[in-house]
Amino acid sequence: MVSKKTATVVGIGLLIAVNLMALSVSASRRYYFAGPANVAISFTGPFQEIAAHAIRFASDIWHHYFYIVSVARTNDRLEAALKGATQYQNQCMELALSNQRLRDLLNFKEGTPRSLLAAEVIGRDPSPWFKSITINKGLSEGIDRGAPVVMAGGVVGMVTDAANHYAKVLLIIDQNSAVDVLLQEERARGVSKGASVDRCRLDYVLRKYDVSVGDTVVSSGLDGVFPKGLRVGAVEKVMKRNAGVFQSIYIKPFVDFEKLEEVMVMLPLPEDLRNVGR
Amino acid sequence: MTYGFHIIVGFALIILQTCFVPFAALPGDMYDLQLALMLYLVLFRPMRETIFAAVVIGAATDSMSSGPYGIYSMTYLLVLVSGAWILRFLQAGNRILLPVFVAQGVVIENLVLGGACLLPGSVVRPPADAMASLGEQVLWALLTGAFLVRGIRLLHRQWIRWMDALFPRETEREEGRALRPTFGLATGTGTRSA
Repeated sequence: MVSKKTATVVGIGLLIAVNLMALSVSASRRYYFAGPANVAISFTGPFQEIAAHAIRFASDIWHHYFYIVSVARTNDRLEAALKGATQYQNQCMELALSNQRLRDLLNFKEGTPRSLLAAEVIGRDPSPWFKSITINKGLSEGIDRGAPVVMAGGVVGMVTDAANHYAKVLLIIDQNSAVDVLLQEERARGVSKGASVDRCRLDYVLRKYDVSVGDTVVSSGLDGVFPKGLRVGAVEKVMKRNAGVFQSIYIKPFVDFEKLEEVMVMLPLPEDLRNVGR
Repeated sequence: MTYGFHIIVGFALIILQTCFVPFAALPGDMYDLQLALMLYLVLFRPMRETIFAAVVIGAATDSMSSGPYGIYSMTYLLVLVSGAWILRFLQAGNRILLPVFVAQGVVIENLVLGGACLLPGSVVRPPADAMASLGEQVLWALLTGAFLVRGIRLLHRQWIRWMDALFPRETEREEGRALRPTFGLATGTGTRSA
């Protein structure tokens, strides 16, 4: 007869072996474990949503009532900024109109605008090794894997898992995330990869390009996920080594990932939905 | 009933970890709070309860993370094995060793995460600040881990009392187990502190 202790040891050994196999498959991203992931997200999601609302409520009380003294000062500053912004907007409108006229002359094909869906951030990744968030919109709202997630400031990330009413978004600062980008001034291509909490690394930018600190980085649209022209970040550090084809560049994303509360999910285009159905 | 307690505490810790801890903006990276539950189970509860919690809570945490699926289940199973092994030689439940016991769980978890990067064909890459993050997590574990384990233990005792009031016959047996726990693999070697 097998003793209880031996059975326990064998059982744990088997569990570890099965788990190791599952881990090696999922680590290579060859297979996607949608089922169990979605069940747990759906179960935890409502509680996370309640917790997120409670935190936001408490934070709102703090900021709206206790900080009211500074509101008048902020109001003055914002009014001054608004005047400047209105003037700038007029200039931009003029430029947009002239751009449109020139595009019409050249018969440029206009990109189809994608509809945006607002979602609230209800949770973050439990591990400091990975950078992802959970949002309160999912499959039933039309969100699916691969949907780009943005904010007014810039690119946030991409949906990697979607349950019925919740979805998981991999942030661009995650080390496993990559966005095909362009340096707006130089038009040099590169790939932005997550480096740390508030930084991305810009790889594969050739040495011949003269990149300066502060240059804006935008999505190139060539990765098939993010549309062209979305703001990603600004160049923070440039290092040109004596040897090597590429230069080493770090960028600071425009989005403050520590204070992320709401995001916008870009819904798939109708033609993409038709392809999914095939 | 006691399995229900482990699941409730596990999910509560997931929500604490994913909602409240990021909002609190604590200095440095916080360790995985589930480890405290796992180590409480290793120290004070029978092995079958620990295995059950490792599988269920591991699967749930895996699905909340963007890391490869199975990384947390693997971590909790290895923490269970290492914990049971340590208990053969040390009385890790005492006040001095308990923080160190939680810290070793944090180290094991980070080793598993690092190991996932080394698996054949793995596309997972460690963050640039992995070592700094490990240091911060260990520090947090040393500072708060023991309190969390003891807090879970107090909560479990209270749970047993509540269940005893609601379902007297079933929880009498539970309470008996709570008072005289086994150390699973470490049969007959370890003794429980208080």
